[in-house]
Formats: sequence, structure tokens, C-alpha cells
Amino acid sequence: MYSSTRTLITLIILVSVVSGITGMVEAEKDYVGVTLNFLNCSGPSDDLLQKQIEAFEKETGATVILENVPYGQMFGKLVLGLRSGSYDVFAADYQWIPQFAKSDSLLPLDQYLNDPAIASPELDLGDFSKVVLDSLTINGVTYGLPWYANVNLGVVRKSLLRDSGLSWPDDWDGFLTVAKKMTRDTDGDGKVDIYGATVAGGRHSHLATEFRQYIWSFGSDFLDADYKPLFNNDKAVAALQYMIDLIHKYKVASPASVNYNYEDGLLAFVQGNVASTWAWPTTVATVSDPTKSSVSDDFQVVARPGVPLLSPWGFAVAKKSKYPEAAYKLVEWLASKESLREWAQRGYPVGRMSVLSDPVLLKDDPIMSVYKKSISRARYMPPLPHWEELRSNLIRHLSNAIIGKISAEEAIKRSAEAAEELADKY
Amino acid sequence: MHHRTSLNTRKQEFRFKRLRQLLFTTKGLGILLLAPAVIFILITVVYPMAYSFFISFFDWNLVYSSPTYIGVTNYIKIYQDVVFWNSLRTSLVFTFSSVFLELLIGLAMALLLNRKIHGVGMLRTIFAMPFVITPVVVALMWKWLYNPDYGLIPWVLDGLGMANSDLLGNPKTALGAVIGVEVWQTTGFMFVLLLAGLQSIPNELYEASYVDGASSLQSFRFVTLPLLKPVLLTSLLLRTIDAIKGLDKFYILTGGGPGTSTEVLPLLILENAFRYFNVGYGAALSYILTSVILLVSFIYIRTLRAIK
Repeated sequence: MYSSTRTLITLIILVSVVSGITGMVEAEKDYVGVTLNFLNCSGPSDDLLQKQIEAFEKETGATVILENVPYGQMFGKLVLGLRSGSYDVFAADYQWIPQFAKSDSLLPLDQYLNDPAIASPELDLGDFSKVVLDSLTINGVTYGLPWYANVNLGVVRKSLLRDSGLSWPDDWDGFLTVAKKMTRDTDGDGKVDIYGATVAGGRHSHLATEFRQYIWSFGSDFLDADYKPLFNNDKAVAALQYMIDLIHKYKVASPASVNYNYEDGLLAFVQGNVASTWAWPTTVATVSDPTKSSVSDDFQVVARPGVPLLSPWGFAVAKKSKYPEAAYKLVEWLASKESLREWAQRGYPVGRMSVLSDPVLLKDDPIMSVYKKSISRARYMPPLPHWEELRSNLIRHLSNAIIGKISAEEAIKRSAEAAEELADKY
Repeated sequence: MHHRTSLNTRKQEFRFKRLRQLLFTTKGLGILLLAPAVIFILITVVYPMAYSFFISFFDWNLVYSSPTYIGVTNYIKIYQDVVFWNSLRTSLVFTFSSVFLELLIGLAMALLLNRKIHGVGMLRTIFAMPFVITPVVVALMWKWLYNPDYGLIPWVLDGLGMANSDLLGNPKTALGAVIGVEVWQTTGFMFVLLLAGLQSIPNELYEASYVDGASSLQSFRFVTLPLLKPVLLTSLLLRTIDAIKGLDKFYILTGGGPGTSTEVLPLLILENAFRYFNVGYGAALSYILTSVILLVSFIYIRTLRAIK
């Protein structure tokens, strides 16, 4: 009995000591007891974000609750969630930054970035891509740190491009020639089986994305600093007409394109029904996955002809976060060189120049050189507070032109009128 | 002191007696049991509706502005908006076309299956089944069926020699394609209600009409239809209200396109209230939709009551 009592006491002391040590270790972690809610746009690499968050939790003691939602639901959730304080950190499409900054829903990060007691010594602000960092900055105030610079790319069937005898073009005249060569009737029944191109011509946000890229490529511009339209001209009409002609005149894009968004085009591509389509770097993984793509071993990623759209993404902090410093540290963690290198290895064109220029990464992944080329030609549209409303109006008129209900001139005119009205309103 | 205490005690006793009377009479108990439901409806239905009507007189963008009172300006803007009139027209065409087809097919099926034949129970279940599938799932399913690259319907239409088999991609056929999906799903609802109505008509009336020399058509016109009127009215009303509010199939199948050929009023409300977050304008649009529903319901009731 004496022996068992002694054993029991020893056990109790041992447990207490271990608990004490664990407690001390936990206490050294900066954010024990802190819970952060993180809203992210769901994608094929959500597992990587989860992994990086778990590493942050282990390092800091904080708990991060990650919520992944489709892009279409993000804005609505943020409008309500930032007002109610439901989210601390979120993945930010740069277009949302001015809208939320205007409603004072975002935490300015400069107070932490410029504080050596809080900012990590490895932060290296100068290493961030300037265009991406600028897109997250409003009137000199930084509201987010860069994640990646989404740039519109092309994917093309290697075999069909090779059979055309042509190389991938840098301009739209060249693209039309290639698309004609790649459009073919494979079974001789008089019907086209493989279309050379796709047009995201459906009533979807991607139509506005396409429109901007085409008008820039044709030499027009979109909006001025006061959000007034600059596209009410012949060049923009020619750009829109080119999109329409790809479907109806040259018939190198499927007639179904009048309802397509990028996902539909990608689906047609992976099923072998089209020879080329447009995609974001985040969706290229689908094409290379043999369980999802019938052309996984017969495609290459190419730079979009003309001027592609740059659509930066970053990480931002909510003004109503109960733990602003912890939230900032999470953002800093996710935007660090180590974290973004992991994204680059997954094929993301990240917002750090040192990572994009890494010779090892460039050697291992030839797509990185396509990214660099694309980003060098890309433009991004300065974010505007009423983008959602303007985009919906544009899509309505552009879509009517795509189906032939109104002419390209009329669509441009109506779109410009809508843009003018909204610029005056906001 | 004793007198005052006695008075207070008598007052308390009186109040308790009144409370007991209130609680334990039939009327009092009924009020008590209904109270939670009434309070729930007041909070979740009446208050939001009243508040929504209130904000329809304000210019308010939820993202970055405070509400500003503008009177009836939202309603005037709606009246002047070509997009609104187009969407209202599309909604009404969709509603009346789909409800009419559902009524026709539903009534025909109910008449056919209102008899004792082998396997009729199974047939009734099969016809009613589409209605129990979630509308979003139905829309996704039909989106695949209509897909021009791999869908069954374009494949069949191509085989029949149709020039443009992409029904959803053609502004002339897109609305019809969505109507087809709606009719496929909700005819079962009409069928179930009308069948129940038919089965409640006493057989003796038909026997009497046959004895009087009435033909099947006369029997249908003078016996079936009048007695089916209450069920008809209920079915038509419910389906019309449902169809005018219809959003899910349009959202998934076409997004309002191609162009604006399937842009219905509920989609416009969704865009304004939940994409641009112009909640004042969105609320005004929703009250216009409510008014349209009330007007249509009123016309139905008056018309059907007038039919002898």
C-alpha cells in the first residue's frame, strides 16, 4: 500500500510538471486563446492554405477557422461579415479593396508594417510586385499584402497547334489565323467537331473580363481616373466586333459560346471539343489532371495574345477584428517568401519578385516563364467602388451584342452611357 | 392599516381571478396557444415586410452609404427603366405559359389516371415524382441535358435535323427551354391536386348525368369542371405565385441570358439587392413584384368566381 501511494504521488507530480512546462511553452506563443475567422475563395489548392494556416497556429498558438466559399458568394458574405465583425482576415480580390475602404471596413496595415516591434524582419516590402501591392493600396494607405497576380492565360492543344504548322501568336490577327487552322471537321460529316477558339460570351462576369482585354489589345482604354468611360470609340467597337465575328462570321468559336463562361470553355477544352481556351493560373491544374481531362498530356500553357488582364489577389484584415495584431501577423505569414514559394510551386504567379525570378523554380516549371511574359504585358484596371454595378450593366449590353440583338456600336454606346451615369452617381 | 391591507388583498384576488378566467376559458387558452406563432410571424414576416417597404423610399447602398430619404424616386426610376419592363414581360410570359401547360397536362393526366386500372398507383407516383426533387438539382440536371457539347437533347435534335440545337444558347428558344424544365417539374403538383379534386366528386353525380343522357364531354363540362373549381383555383393561384417568383432555374440555366432573353424580375431584384447592394431600389422592385402577384391573384379569383 505504501508502494502504491508513493507511485500515485510520483505520478501526480510528474503530470503537474509536464502540464506546467506545456503551459509555459504555450504561454510563450504570442496568440494563445486568439481565434481568427478567415474567409477564402475556394479553389483547387485550398489544402495548401489549410496547411499554411496550421503551421501558423502551431507557431503562434492562435486558432484560425478557415471558411472556403466560391467566388460568386465572397462579396456578399464580406459586405455583411465585415460590418458584423464575423471575419478577421479574408482573401481579397483587389477590386473589392476600394469599396470596403470607402465603407471603413478595412484595417490599414501601415501601423504594423512600419512598426519594427511587430513587423517581421523578413517582411521585405520591396520584394513584393509593385503593381500588386499598389492594387491593394488606396490613397497611400496599404490595406492588404500580395498573394498572387492572377493573369489571364491561354491553354492550347499541342498536337493541333503543331498540325497547323504555326506558332502561338502574340496578336489577335495571328490568333485568328491559328484558330482557323485548328478548327476542323474530324469525321467528314460537314459539321465542325473541334473549334479553334472559345469566347466567354455568356451573361457572366467573365464577359466583362474578356471585353477589357480585347479593347486594350485593340488600342482603346477603359475608364479614366474619374471613372468616366474611355471606350466609346471605333477601336472598342472593333474589339467587340472581333469577339462577335469569332463566333458568327469566322465560326472558329462554338455557337454555344454565347452562353459560355471560362469554366464552360475549360470544360469544352478538357473534353477535346475546342483547341484553345482562356483560363486563370488557378484553373490550369484541372487541365493537367488525367482524372478530369482527356487532354492532360496534349496541352501547353501560353501567353494570351495582346494585353491580358492582371487581377491581383491579396490578404486583408477587417477593421472590426477583435485581434488586429494577430490578424496582421496571419496576413504577414501567408504573404511571406516561404509561403508564396509554396504557392509558386503549385503554379500560382505569386506577388513576390524574388520567387518569380527564382532560377530553380523557372527551371522546374516552364509555366513560370509564361507568367513572367504575361505579367510584363498585363494591365490591371484600377479598382472602382461601384464595379459590381458597372460590370452587370456592361454584361447586359455586351451579351445582347454577342447574340446579335443589338449592334456592336449600340452596345458600346449603351455601355458607355451606363458607365457615365454610374461615374456621376458615385 | 388593516382596511388598506384588506383592500390590496381583495384587489390581488380579483386580478388572479381574472387571470384564471382568461387562461382557462376556451377563448383565453386559444389566445395563449396561438401567441407564440403570432409573435413568430410578427417578427419574421410582418416586421421584415414593413421594414422593406420603409426602405424602398430610401437611397441606400449597403456597402458604403447611409440611407437617404428620396420619397418615391425609386418607384419612378423603376417606371422609367426599360430593363424593368423587359424583365416583367419575360416573367409574365414565363408564368402564364408554364402554368397553362401544367394545367393542361396535369388535368389530362389526372383524368386519365382517375380510374381503377392495374398499375395506376405506380403511374401516379411516377408522374408526381419530379415535383419532389429540389429545384436547384433539377436545373443542374437539365443544364447538362441541354449542353450543346455533350447533352442528350441537342444530340437528339441534331439527329432530327434541327439547325440550331443549342436551345439555351439561342435567344429565341432559351425561354421556351426554361419553360420546358418548369413544366416537367411542376406538372406533378397540378396532377396531384387535380386528382384529389376529381376523386372527391361523388360518382352518383356522373351516374345521374349519364341517366339524363349527357355525353362524356357534357359530363365533364357540367359536372366535373364546376365541382373542380375550388381545386382549380387553389392550384392555379399557388402555381402562378410560385412561377412569378421563379428564380432558381433562370439563375442556373441561363443567368438571364443569352442577352436579356431570360432576364426575369426576380433576377433583377437579386442583382440590385444582393449584388450591387442597392437595398432601397431592390426593396422597391420587390414591392412591385408583390403588387403584380396580388393583382394576378385578384383577377384569378374574380374570373373563376364569375364562371358558372
